[in-house]
Amino acid sequence: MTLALTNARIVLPEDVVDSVALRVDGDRIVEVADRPAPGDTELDLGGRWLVPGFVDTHVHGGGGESFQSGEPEAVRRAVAHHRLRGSTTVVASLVSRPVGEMVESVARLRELVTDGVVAGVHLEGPFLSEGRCGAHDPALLRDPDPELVRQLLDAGRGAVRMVTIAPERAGGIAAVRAVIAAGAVAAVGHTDATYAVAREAIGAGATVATHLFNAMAPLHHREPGPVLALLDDERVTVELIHDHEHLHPSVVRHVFAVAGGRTSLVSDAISAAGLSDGDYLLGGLGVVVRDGAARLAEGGALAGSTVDVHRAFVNAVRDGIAIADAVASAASTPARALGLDHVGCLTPGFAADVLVLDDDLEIVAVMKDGGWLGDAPQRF
Amino acid sequence: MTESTVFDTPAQLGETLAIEIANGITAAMAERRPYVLGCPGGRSPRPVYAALATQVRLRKLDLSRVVVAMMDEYVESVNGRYRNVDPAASYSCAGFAAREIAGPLARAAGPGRGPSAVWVPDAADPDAHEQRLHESGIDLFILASGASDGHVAFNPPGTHLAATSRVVELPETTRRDNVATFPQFGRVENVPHFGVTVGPATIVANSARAVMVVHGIDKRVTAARLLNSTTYDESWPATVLHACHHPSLYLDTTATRPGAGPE
Repeated sequence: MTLALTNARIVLPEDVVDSVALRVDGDRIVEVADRPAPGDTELDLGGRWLVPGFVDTHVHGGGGESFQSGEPEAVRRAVAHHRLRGSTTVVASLVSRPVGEMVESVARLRELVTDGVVAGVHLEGPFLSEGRCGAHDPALLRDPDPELVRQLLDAGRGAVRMVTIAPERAGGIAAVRAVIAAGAVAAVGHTDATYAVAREAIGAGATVATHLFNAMAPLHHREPGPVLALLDDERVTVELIHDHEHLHPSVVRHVFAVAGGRTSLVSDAISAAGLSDGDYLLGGLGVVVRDGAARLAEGGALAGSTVDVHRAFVNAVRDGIAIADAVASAASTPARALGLDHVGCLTPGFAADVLVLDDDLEIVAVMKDGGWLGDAPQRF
Repeated sequence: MTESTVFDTPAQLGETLAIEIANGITAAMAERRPYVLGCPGGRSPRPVYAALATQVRLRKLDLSRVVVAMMDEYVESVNGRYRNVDPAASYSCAGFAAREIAGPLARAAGPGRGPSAVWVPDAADPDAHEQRLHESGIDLFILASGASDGHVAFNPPGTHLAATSRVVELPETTRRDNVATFPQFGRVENVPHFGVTVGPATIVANSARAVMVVHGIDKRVTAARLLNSTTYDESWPATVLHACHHPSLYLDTTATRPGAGPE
């Protein structure tokens, strides 16, 4: 049975249209047509927005649960938290822990990747700069010894989609190459790299900037550092945490202006996402959440966020980003950056992952793989 | 030098300009000062107004410091005296402002948050419009060009750059263009013979920014005239854009497609 979603402002890859039918059969989008086909079950969305399900490629947990252990039930609950909030595709990010422990987490998460619970694993560490450690325990950070890199990648058997590396560390550039060779994406982040070293990492194949600006050397007019190297290069997708804590709205507008087609909104959410203010743990470090901002109990560094990609998307639109560009940065751009096929676009053949948003862009309904999460809406 | 940008569709053109206006309104609200938006009626700015209403709704903008300043209005001569046409008339610019600009913006903004005023020039006292625009300034003037004669507002070909707000007699070309704008006129004979309008000098002297919107196949000629000029040319008043502060020319691909446009 084919479901036809009609009477919506549909954000397609190239345009926003309001007079077409999005036809869904099973778990796939089958057609964007002028009108429903005979026999379709039609659902009139009452003029609401219809956008692709969002793709969060950098997230540590949510709803009180963390991806860190890879414990299946905890992972499923954290994923459910983000799916209900519009991120229908989630890549599990792990913070720095002892390598043996991370190998075990990756092995557990591998099963959940196979089951389609998470789309992959992102290793945010331990090959990061102590000077730009952010909320990572500096005692656990280390050079990317080839054997350690291999252990982590092997544990995933293809499940590791991305590894963040500080390329200035001994063996950093070789590690970028090793990650690429294993079929994963190398990201530059938590780094004190010079402009030249960051360029070298990009030349070696790094294609993602882990939360651009945050936890990296700031732009200086004589030493532009990693920020300008990453922002300037057409090969690089830049992550932004747009929670109104990590970045000034003007910075976000500027990044969209110069790198709009390769800007990716990520949540970097920790387990406290969706919970009230209080004390939490992130990778063994105490984190205090106050007024929605997560900071290390010691030192006060920002420690991830408590938002989700949908909130970052709303923030972007309210800060003046065109809606189609904001949707792309929350869906197709991150999907493309990590090679996640068939998600992030309202295109025939892609997964039927869609969000229905009201006039305020708040989520009215979420469809994942052709099925509504929660109660199936009968009418709008 | 006037910057020009070609958009794939009028909707994309409209959204880009609407976002700029919304950013300006946000800044004005933060600075607790008015935001004056210079507005034409007609077909060209419609995608901008529609996109601006969407921006207002999505961004929850408060428009209570926004003034919609119309550029012109039709005028009738009664017993030798000029007066604005009835705002209830379907072709009235004041009516257009209420129906297609201020009304939708007010609904998008919510109760008590709509535009604070709509200013329309009054044929009985054009100087008053000139004076208040001089005092307030115009944050951004949306401009549009007549298809066949390049009129801007109701300034016909031959208008001196120094002209200010006044009542003008509408030439045949402008009146024919306006049958296309307001199909309800039916025939050119039904289009009023007079209009009250801002002058080129009103636009140039008071606007911090001016954006001319040109889209559609019938605007090829004016697109070419604007792209191939750099200064004000009395024979094509829309070229006033080049004399403005911070001018931009926003076109769509249809208006810039090679080929002779309709005269």
